[in-house]
Amino acid sequence: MKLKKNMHTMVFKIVLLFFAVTAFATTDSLVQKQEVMIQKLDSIDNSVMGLRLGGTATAGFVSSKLTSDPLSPNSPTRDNQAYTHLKLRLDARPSKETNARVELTLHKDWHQAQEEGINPVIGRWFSYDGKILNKKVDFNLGYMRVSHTPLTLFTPQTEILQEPTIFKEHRVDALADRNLDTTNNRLLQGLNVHYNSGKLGVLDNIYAQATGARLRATAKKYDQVFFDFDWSDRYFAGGRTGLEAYGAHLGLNYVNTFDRIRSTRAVAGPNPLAAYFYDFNKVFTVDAGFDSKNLVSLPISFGVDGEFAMSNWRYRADSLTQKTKTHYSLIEGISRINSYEGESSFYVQKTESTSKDWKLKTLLKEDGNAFYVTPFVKADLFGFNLDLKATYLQNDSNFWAEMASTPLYQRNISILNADAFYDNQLLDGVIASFRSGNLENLYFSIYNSNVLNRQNLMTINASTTLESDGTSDSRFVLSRLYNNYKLGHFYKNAYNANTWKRLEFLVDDLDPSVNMALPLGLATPDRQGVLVSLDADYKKWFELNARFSKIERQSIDIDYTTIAVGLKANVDEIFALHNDLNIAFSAEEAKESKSELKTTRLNAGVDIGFLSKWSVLAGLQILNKDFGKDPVSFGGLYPSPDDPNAEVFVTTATVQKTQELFALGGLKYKIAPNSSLSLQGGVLNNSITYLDMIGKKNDLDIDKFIIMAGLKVNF
Amino acid sequence: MKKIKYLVWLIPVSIMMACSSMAVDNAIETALPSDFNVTDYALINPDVVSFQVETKIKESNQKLKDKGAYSAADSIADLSAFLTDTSVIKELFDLLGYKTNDEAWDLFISQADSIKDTIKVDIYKDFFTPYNSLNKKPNDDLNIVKEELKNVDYSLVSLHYSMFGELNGRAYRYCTKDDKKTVKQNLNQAKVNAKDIPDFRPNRYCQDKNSKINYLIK
Repeated sequence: MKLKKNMHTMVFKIVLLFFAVTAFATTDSLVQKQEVMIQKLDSIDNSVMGLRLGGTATAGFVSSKLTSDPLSPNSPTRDNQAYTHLKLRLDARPSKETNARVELTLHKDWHQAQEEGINPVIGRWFSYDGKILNKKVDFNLGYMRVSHTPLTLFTPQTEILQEPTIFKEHRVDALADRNLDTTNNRLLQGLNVHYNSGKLGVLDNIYAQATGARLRATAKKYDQVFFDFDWSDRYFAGGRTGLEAYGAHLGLNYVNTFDRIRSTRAVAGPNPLAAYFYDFNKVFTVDAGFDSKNLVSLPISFGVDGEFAMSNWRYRADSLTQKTKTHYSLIEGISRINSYEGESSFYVQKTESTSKDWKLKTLLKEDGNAFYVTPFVKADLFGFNLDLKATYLQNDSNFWAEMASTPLYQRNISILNADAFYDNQLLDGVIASFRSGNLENLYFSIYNSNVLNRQNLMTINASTTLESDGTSDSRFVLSRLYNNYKLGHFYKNAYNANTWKRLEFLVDDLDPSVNMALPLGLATPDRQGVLVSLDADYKKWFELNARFSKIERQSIDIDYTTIAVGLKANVDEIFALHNDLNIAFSAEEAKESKSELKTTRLNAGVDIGFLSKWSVLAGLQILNKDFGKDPVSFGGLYPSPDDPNAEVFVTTATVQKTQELFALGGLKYKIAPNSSLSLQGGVLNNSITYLDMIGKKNDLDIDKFIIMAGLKVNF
Repeated sequence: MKKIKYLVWLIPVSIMMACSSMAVDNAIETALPSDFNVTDYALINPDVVSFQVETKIKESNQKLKDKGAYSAADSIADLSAFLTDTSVIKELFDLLGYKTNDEAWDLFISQADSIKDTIKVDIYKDFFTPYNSLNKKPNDDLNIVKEELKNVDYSLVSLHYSMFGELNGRAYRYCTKDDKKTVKQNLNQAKVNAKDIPDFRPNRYCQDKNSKINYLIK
């Protein structure tokens, strides 16, 4: 009886508590308040003229212990990084409207501190930005992040629903090492001018934007020791204009990417290459949209966005060819038609002269169209927040929009334990392709300052070929190194801001576990289909995300199906706790119909805050790739059993599946907003299932045990 | 006006979108009369054709001389052998388009002889010397001329009319019945230009097939 009474009291207390906490559910936590304050202070600072210094200092330690059966007994198994990394931001404001920014990086690797040398400060960002002419014109000069529309200038991003916070922080850091972020803007170096008229009569806005940038056509130049500007540069110019009225907008967009022909000819010298190849890409698009929210403010709004694009792509070869020029002239002669004695007359003389002249030949040309239309509904009713979108897209196989398509994520970079070497010849190919996995590439990056030596300083000999065999290095190689005991900054990072030219894309192998259906975003050529996305939340207590897409690749008759669901419960919001407490889960499956290639990604994450400044973050991600009917084969040439002098190709391993698992947990102490002390530990497993030479199923496990500690201070 | 100022921002975009091309005209395709016929023009003006043959022979002779393989004495002997071979010379005269009958040849010889007697100019020699290929026998010289006549570039013959023939008042076709009204009288239909070259333009002329008389085309 007493127990029953107690029970009643307890239920009553819980209900009361529940109501009490929901009443304060909208109150911001202390930390959030602090952050808002800091931002306000920042914005005050931003309008003060003069020089301002800011940045982030990180001291960190990363240790990765590798275990794997085929590892050579002599191989290093532990990869240690102990570093101090300083990102310094200098803002100079010559006027209230403009700002010049320089970001510098200082990096010291303590684990190789004995290799002392001159450690250079490198400049990672140089820009001059501003809002001028009554804040109607924005401009950026130097480094900038700009996007126009999804089919012209854009960066497709990797979307992982409800990605655990602990992982997302690592991904953002890895991107930031490359000056990249998680937006759809593209990192460029050039000039951008953007004009917005504001309200003009019945029009809400007229805008015009022009952007020009220099792109890099190849990763490395001839030589690291000379001025960094040559014919391998590529250029981008784009412009857009449009108007907005009555909740609708209409825009015209144009982008052009091209190589420099005349300057290449100018520096080609007397003995040019047989041909220089150029890639030209132009895209013209019309975009239009409507959003009822801009017309009337109702709890439910709806609208549509769409874009139609026409692309033009040319692949050309330029070569110095012998050219004959014909000249016609009149010369004097004797005519004897009127009298045999003859009289002076004039005759046409043809003379030919040969000269060498550049000839530009179009090797390939393709024009294609693409369009998408996205109707959407947004609702904010009774605490429910809903955002439902459906996209229909139809892109020709000939469509190509270089500046809208290249993703930032590029696969198969060995980041952790990159110095480990394996001792199994039969698995060479497998290890080269799978020694790191998608999870390592998504979430890790290593920044080092290494001594420049013969291995990492590229040299060139008298001819213009890069030498790899070492026997015919440049005769200057030693003199270059002699007084050059310097540290250089190096990355191991799977993200990259380079754009792929069309032919580069065709030879490049994409990682099917990231955006299998639309690896190049909405601009992916040869696609037709529907994408549906739903993002909903209830009073910020619960979040639900759902994605579905069915995309067909018309030219080879295969289709992709993607289903993804994400769920998050913000327990701190439900009970109005001052500390973070949330739990998130997501699952994604992508399939390809023909080869039955299938990838599955599962995520679980939890953030627990306690004692106001402490938090525990944990995340688990499992990624399975099943290559289905089209497994990846590796092999090599081996002596033939029939003829000892002949060699035959033998398939030594056929990879059928990979299973990756990344579990990471950590403790974080918040010193101030954006400043923290953390300790994390976890495992990163990569298990590759393959058939060996005799068709027997085997597993190759590459396991990494990781410990990370770090102190991050924002100033 | 204020709004126009805002639209100025669109100018750089529209410039970027605009593109233009400039085609270069072909120099050979200049205007010829619509009834121009290159075969007739070549028959009426055989010198235009034979000039090409002369030029080719002159070039190959020059090459031979440049090599130093042929002495001055040798070339005189070679030439006299050619000029004294009457049958070859007669056929050449025919080939070059001058002979229509035996009287023409006789007339040519008598004229050549009389001029040689009076003003000491050897028309005969001047006429045929350009067709002598050095280091070749007279018969081979003739064959070379035959060969070169086959290789005549008729585009140059057409071009001759537009570059010089029209100005020079050359007949470019045979006359029809309607044409034969005004005989071409050399200079009174021509303006003389600054370089003392008579300019017959815009008049054009035809030739009577039988009489070889040129008439003004109306």
